[in-house]
Amino acid sequence: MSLEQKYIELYATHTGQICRGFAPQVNAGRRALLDDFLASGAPDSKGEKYRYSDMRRIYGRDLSLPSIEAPIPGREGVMTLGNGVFADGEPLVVRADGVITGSLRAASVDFPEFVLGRLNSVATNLSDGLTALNGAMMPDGIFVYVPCGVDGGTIDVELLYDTVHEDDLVFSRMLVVLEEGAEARLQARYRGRAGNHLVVNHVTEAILGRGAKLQMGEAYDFGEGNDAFAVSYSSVAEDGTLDRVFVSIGGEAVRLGYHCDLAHTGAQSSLYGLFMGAGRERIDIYSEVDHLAGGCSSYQMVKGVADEQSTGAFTGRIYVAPGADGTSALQQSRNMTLTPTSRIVSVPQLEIYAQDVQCSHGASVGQLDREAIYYMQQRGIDEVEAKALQMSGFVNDIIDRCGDGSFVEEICNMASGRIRRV
Amino acid sequence: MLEIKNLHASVDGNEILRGIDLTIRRGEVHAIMGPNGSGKSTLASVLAGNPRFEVSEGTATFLGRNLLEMSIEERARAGFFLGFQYPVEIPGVSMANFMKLAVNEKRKYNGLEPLGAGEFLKLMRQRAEFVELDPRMTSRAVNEGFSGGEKKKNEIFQMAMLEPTLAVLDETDSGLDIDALRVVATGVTRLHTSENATIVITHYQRLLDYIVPDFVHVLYHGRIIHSGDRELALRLEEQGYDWLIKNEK
Repeated sequence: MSLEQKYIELYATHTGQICRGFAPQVNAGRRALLDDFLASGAPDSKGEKYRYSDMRRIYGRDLSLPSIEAPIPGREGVMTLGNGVFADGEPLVVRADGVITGSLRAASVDFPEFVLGRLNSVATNLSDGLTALNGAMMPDGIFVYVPCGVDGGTIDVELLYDTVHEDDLVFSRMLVVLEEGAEARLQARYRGRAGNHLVVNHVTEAILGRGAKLQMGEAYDFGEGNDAFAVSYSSVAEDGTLDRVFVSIGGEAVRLGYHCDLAHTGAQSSLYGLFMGAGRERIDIYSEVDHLAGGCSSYQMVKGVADEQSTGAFTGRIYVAPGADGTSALQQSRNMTLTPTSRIVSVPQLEIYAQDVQCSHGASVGQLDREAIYYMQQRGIDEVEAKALQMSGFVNDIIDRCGDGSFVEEICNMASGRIRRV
Repeated sequence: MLEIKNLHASVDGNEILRGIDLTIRRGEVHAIMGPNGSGKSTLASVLAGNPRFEVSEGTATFLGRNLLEMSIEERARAGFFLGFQYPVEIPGVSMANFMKLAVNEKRKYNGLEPLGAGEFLKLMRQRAEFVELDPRMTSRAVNEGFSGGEKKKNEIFQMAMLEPTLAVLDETDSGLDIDALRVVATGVTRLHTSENATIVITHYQRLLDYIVPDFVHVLYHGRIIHSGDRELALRLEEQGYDWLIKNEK
């Protein structure tokens, strides 16, 4: 039996558990997504996009779906998805200003046509079998809707991966829709219990209407020994703005994908990111910005730190479609390897088919500056502290973009924990 | 305060210091001059504990302790300060954070409570004024994007913050215009007391117009070949080093 057929069988055995509570219209589409997965398969490192992540090796393991357990209780004021299933008491909250937040499957029942029209509408990357597999297997998800002209404020989300058994494959999903002129700040944490050898498969879709503004902060700590594939697909309409920042630590093999379509004139996106690897962790960031219309701008600044025997990779693809004149696309990849056995690869890929464009990229991989450490020691700061200070200096401009309040504090704690290991 | 005896040091197997003897007492200002490559900066680096250099022979006693056995940071906390010839940029680390950590490490070493945020900011403002350093510089990253003059002023600002017992200033005057030279030199002079000491490493007599030395030493080929008072610096300015080197040869 091939690897793909094994998952089709897994779906067949667990159809009831997977489809429970979803609108029949959504469930009806799952089979076609499984066929997509069968056609494109789990990617291995032979292809360009997955050169630094061998997903076949991970999905080739003997994995099961998590057994049905009592929902993981969420934190006050934070929408929580426990092992892919919405955990809060109230499955869907419709606020007076029209903002709707809650469980994706509950939303699919209450607003079937709306959800059906948007789910898998941006995540249509058929060459990516794992995204299709997520569409077929997701048991629930987070749903966020902000209507026209409304400021949805700050929305806190937590996705927990904490199963009873080892070697579970956990699917989770997020659908975020901002209508014309809507605004929101989404703060998402992804946390896995260390040492359970879990595999996480997460997909986010973000759809921004005309002039909509979404700020999205993501903190990933999938937990030691766990593997994760978390990919995000966004579409930004005319004059819309998507600003994202992520910080990732923890996880055995982590693949983060960011795909953003700047679909209409004046659309903008920014991506600031930081990944910090240690031990034998492998982290692979794949970012793809498609400038499909003229007059759009994108900016990416992704920083990586690799300690001990860890490895990291950043692939930044910028595509400028024919006729997308007036495009501005800038990309920076800055990296630091802390030991002779750590490694980071940076791969810029620019594919430009328009004439009047401003595109640039820069990549560097360096080490801790011994001279700077000596300088700090000469001022009375010991070597450990001097290294930590230098590392903080390297990562702080990304962390400072994570907003304020408890979210940035959580991210600071995550990063300082890593820095202290150096 | 500092007693150096027969100090030999090398880098990558090449001996640079070949037997330095030097005694510094409280309240004194010493100038070390000498042609390029004579070992002036190496002496400063060896005293600071720069791991690039290996001490093969000799002793250095600082405030009664074996300086050469102390770690770099321990030397600094005990009151040894090196003003760098080429101050290092540390991107992303603000001057304020850097100095707060440094000042409080020294206080801890001396058994004092760390300074609170308010006290620290007040001290920083005072000391920035002292060297005519724009206080806004303290919110910027350490030396990042600073001009040559600002970097040197920043060295003296750090010296003012840390109040060392012994400061070695390695070519602090290089790359300074006349006004910046005056500010930097005046700052050093104002920090000088009967309880501390300064070693000024320089190529030019003009710095010594501001920082008047009690002793001037000429370093050549890794050894002090001649010592005198400030008149020696004036003579070197006029006649160069040849007359001394010839004697040496």
